[in-house]
Amino acid sequence: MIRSLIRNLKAVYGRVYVRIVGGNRYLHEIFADAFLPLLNLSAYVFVYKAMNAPQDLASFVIIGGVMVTFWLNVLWSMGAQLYWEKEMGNLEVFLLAPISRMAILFGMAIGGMINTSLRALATLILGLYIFNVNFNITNPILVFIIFILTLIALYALGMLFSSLFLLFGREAWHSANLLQEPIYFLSGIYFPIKYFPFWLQVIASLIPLTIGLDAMRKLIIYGHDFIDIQLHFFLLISLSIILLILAKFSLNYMEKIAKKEGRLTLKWI
Amino acid sequence: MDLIKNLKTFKCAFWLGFKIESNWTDPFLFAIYSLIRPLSSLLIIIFVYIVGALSGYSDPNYATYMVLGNAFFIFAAQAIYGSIWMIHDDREHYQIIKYVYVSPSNFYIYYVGRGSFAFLLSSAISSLITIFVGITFLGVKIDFLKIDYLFFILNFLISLIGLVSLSMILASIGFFTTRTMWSLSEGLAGLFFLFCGILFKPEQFPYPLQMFSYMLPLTYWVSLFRNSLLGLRMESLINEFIISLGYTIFLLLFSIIFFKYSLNIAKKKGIIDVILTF
Repeated sequence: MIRSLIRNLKAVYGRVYVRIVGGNRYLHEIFADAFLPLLNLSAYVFVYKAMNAPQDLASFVIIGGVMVTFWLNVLWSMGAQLYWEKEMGNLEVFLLAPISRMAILFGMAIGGMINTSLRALATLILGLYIFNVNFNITNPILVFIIFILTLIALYALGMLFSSLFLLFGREAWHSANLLQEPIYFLSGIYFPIKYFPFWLQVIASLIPLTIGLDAMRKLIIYGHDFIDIQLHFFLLISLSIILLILAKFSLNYMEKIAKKEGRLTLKWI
Repeated sequence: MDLIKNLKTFKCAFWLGFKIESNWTDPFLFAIYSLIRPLSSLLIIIFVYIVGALSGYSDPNYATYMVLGNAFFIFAAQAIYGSIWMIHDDREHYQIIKYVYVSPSNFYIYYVGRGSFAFLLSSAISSLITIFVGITFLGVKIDFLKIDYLFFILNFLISLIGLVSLSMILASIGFFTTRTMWSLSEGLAGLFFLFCGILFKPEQFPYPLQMFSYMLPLTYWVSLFRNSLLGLRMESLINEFIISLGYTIFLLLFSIIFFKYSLNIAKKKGIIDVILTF
């Protein structure tokens, strides 16, 4: 039991190591990842400026623009990752190793979180500096807790996608592509979702990014406290647990189907 | 003779591009897939507009400005992102680049054809949907009887040739780079989205950035697309038209030269079919 745990922890570390070293190999990539999200979010800040909208909308956009980098990481570097590993011929090596598949996904998630957090922080600082936006944080520890909970729920969703995409061929790429912008819209990356009709707000609330973003904006822009975001807090914890369990079952189930149909190592289709 | 051979290459590459883009699923699912992305982008713009309008802003023409800008940007985004995937897919994913290279077809024409399905058809559908939804739900005002169609088509063709040339320049860089391409495409798309008057007028920028905005070809292409659809005539847009044409000719010639140059570098370094994905 303990030996198995240590082995799996080593696998997690191994996958984190690859992610961090691979992701930080080139300095220009780190700079690009930190700076480029600013271009898109700046466009929306300028739109609001052009419409003489209140200044807090710029803060909305900056927080949304920073969090979107995590969504992109979840989608492309978690969701579609096993598909890429299959195409590159690494998947069979993973499956042959005497470790839990979840250890590989955990490693990918932790590595992705660390890499993206560093870049997101740089984007945030640049955004604040360029647009001279003021935040009104009264409880920084709570902001940090909500941020971590959002990441856990989001990466748990990524792990679920990863297992679902295991079965896919080229649909994996298209599915990831398909999910990108609808989630931008539903999560309210560039605007508050209170303007959605109620039924759409309910649907949007099933996405961890929506809940996390809403809570963080309340805490960071309006200086709210725990009492105002307790529902978000419990929803994020519930979603994290549900999604992690679903990811575990889904991974086992999809692996079985993929083996049965002989699609586990099938490339290029 | 060469023309017929090149047309055949284009046709085959176009067909290949179509197959790669669409044969992973059934036509119904592909149609839904083609609809959801542009609709989501448009919905973001609609809600940003609604939020801005609820703050007291009331310029009915602004929605038209944003929707038409976005409708054109779909082509630009596809040209930028598509070119990156072509080289990467052929070289590292499907590993067929060496076979294409040793075939008697023109390599440049092959890649123009390979990217044209996604660039022309897929983007055109998305763009039309964007305009249709804009007219239906956002009150975008286009007087279809007022449009000088000859001018619009001419403008549109010039900008499409310019965008294809731009995508071929990016594809050329792809011959000797790997992951840098993602940053480059992301950066260029973001740069154009921000600076080229897609969602707001370049006059919103402080002076030096305005200057930068007017140095980018897409600023002219998108402006001509928008203004010609709004019924403005060639006489009133002649300066923009000449600049746009100049940029397109320059980019076309540069893309051909740069493509050959990049290919030579890749051959010299022996990396034309190298697999570097990690």
